[in-house]
Amino acid sequence: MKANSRFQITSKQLIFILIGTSIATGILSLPRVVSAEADQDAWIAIILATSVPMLSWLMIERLGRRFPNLTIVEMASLLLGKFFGTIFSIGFIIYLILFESVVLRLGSEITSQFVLPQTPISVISMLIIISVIYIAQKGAKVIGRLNELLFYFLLFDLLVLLFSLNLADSTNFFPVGGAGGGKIIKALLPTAYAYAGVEILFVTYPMVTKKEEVLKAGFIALGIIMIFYVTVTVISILVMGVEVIQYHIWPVLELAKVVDVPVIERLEFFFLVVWLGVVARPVINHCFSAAFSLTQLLKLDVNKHYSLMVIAVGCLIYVISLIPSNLVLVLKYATYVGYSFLIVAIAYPLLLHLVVILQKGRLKKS
Amino acid sequence: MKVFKKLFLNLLNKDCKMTESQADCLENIKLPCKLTKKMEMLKPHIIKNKDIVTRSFYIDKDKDLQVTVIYIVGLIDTNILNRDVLKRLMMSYNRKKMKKEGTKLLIDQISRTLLSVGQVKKVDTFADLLQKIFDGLTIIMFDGLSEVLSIDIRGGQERDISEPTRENTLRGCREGFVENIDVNIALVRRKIRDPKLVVEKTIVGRRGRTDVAFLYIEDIADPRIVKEVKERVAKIDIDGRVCAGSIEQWIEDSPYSFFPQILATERPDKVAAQLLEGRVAIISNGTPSVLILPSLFVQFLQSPDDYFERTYIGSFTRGLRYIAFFLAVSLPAIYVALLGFQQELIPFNLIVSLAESRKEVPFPVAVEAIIQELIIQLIIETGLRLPTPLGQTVGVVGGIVLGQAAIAAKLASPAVVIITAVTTICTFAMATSSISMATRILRLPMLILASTFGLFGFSLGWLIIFAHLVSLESVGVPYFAPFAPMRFADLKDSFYRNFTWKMENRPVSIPNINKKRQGKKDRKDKK
Repeated sequence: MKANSRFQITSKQLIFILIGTSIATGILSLPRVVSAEADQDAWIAIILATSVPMLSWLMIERLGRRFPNLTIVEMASLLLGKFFGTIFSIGFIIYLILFESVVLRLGSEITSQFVLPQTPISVISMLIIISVIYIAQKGAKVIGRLNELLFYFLLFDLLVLLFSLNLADSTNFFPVGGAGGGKIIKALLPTAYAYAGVEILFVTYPMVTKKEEVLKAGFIALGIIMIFYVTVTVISILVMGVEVIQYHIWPVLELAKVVDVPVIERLEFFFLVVWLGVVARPVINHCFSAAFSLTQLLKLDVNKHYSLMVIAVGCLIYVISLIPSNLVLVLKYATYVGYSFLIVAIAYPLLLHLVVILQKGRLKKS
Repeated sequence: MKVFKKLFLNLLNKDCKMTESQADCLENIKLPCKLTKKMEMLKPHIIKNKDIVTRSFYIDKDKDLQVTVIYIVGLIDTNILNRDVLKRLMMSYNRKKMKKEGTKLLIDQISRTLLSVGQVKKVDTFADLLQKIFDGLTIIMFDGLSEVLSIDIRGGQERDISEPTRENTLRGCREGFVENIDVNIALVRRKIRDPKLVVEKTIVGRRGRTDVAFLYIEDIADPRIVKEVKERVAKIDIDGRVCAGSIEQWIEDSPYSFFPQILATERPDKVAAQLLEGRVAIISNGTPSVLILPSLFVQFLQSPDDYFERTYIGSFTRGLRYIAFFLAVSLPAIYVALLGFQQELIPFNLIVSLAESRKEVPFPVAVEAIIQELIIQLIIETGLRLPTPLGQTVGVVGGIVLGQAAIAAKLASPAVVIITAVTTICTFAMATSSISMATRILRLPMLILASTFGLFGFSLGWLIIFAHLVSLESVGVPYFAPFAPMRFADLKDSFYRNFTWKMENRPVSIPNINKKRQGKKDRKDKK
């Protein structure tokens, strides 16, 4: 990739991009998903599950070190040959598009339920996707900055949730470890999906200015994400208890509703105002990475055709997001996409690493 | 025409090679010795202009040295011309003394001993001579000498230095920029008496030929930024003259943005402070406002008073202005979104009184707000342009009659009038007019978004505004710094202002080559 300031990010921005990609709609349902398996020890599962994205980050970072200027598309065609490389890249792009379709749909569903009950989902999704396209076509640098800004807003959201702690019942939290090791390990799988987003390093690695800080940046970001998840889950468990959480699709939103502050009365307002940022952010990030990969796959000029690709990818995400007819189906697809996260984050880099080892001699020649 | 020009040029100067382009030729023509020939050359250019004065006289009683003075009426100070140029040449010329030196040095002799004015330059090409005349300089031509003298005694009627009308302060200095570029530069010079303060001048505009000056402090400003600014100004290819506003539009990074990316100010103390932070100032002749680059979003919400008042007061007013910015853009939108869509988020008692007041209003809340918004925009626009007494009348008519009468006629609810009024006040609470204008434009789209999609539209609007702000750059410097990219070191002078003595380093958001601003305050007195 040529040096291009529009597609250059600092390692600090990488932290925020990773946080922004990972913390998506999943955070609202996370307490339910995890506590369904691990009961009140959900937070232990969340901490343990961090190892999955960390492993993935480590592998991708190593690959990046080996080929510091190649994105996944270029890497795949170099390592796997033209035919298999293309299939590999297409798989990656399809995964990104499907993933963000689900996020977009879920985000729209939540918006529809809590803010605009009368407006059709298609209109809400369209509004979100238009703003996503507008932002994503500005390039990685702007996306990095926006992620940074939105991160601080997200912190504000977390503060809103803290208000509900006055309703906390500490007995909900005990006994610690009572769920048992087996249950906690069983909960690891659904929890790992919440960390989907590390795969963005495949695309952003060549854009980072200080490559030696990438590993550190990733771990810091994953640490922050973990703290977020643990806080949200612990608050939910403390306030509602494991049984009640299961009755809500999005327990965290219920938390925001519970909060009662004098004069303003309901803090949900602040939560929902910031909410759009939480939905749009991962879609922006992955719309960008999908469009960027697509531009490279089609061997187009990044400067000229990237914006067009963003529009194309954005429209595709929009159309796919409208396919499932109801929320239950969307949640089912979300699980499938969660599985494919493991393929992209673990199997993909593993495969590339294997090829690197097997082809050591041949690569050296070229 | 072309043939004539060629002939004319050929006649004037046979050495001039016609292989060169004609423009080059014209520039390279050396002036002839004979005064009559010089006048002949000038004639086609000045004969039609009745404001050009040519005055011929002999500076020698024996009439062998004829002199012609050319100037434009109204552009020069006639007193100085009469006293220090004409009188000196006519009366004080000492032939014997001069003749000793020979004719070759005569011109130097005259400029050194006779002309008691500051700026005297020798001119020897025709193009230069012509340009100097129209730049307003006074030309003295001698018979028998090819070189002519140009003296700068420009003057004429000009406005005095007065208080800046649009940027008042409580404790700041009371002087503001005027139209004259030299006075403006001097005003800044008085504030920074540093040899490193560089003043570079250039001329912009093919016909208008405006003087434009770049001011920066050599050992603070980043040379790359200085270079970039100069290049951008050099690229302006405009026919007429430029003013600060048009330079701004020619050189800004994102012309399609609502937000001002270059700060314009009328205050020399503000310019001095900005220069010391490593920025570049552009002063253009003829406009009392000076451009400062690179400018950040935070600068548009800064007022000099924030620094003159004590820290807590300064921080308070600064914070107030950020709130004002937020409200000016979004208060009507919030009102419409809450009342039209998310009534459940309004506290119960409040919604009862709001509903009561809206009981008999026939319009939906969105329409009501949009009508009020349009009316207030019209009142603002009218009030800004009218002379003061008339403007007040419009204010009274607009405010009392439209507001009070509309409520009485049940065409608007009191709440929406209050909201509009608060929004308007917020619009003008911001320190610079250019950001006020931006909020005035942004308000309506926000209102429309909120009235179609409620709170969701409201947050959508802000998401796009933030994304836009973050994507802006001013001379390549991120515009929304120190917020995004977050620069913690610079936060101390953003939405609040830290103690002056704690700002030891210059802002990192503006690239500079000299980080340290000041020493630490000696605070031994406090333990």
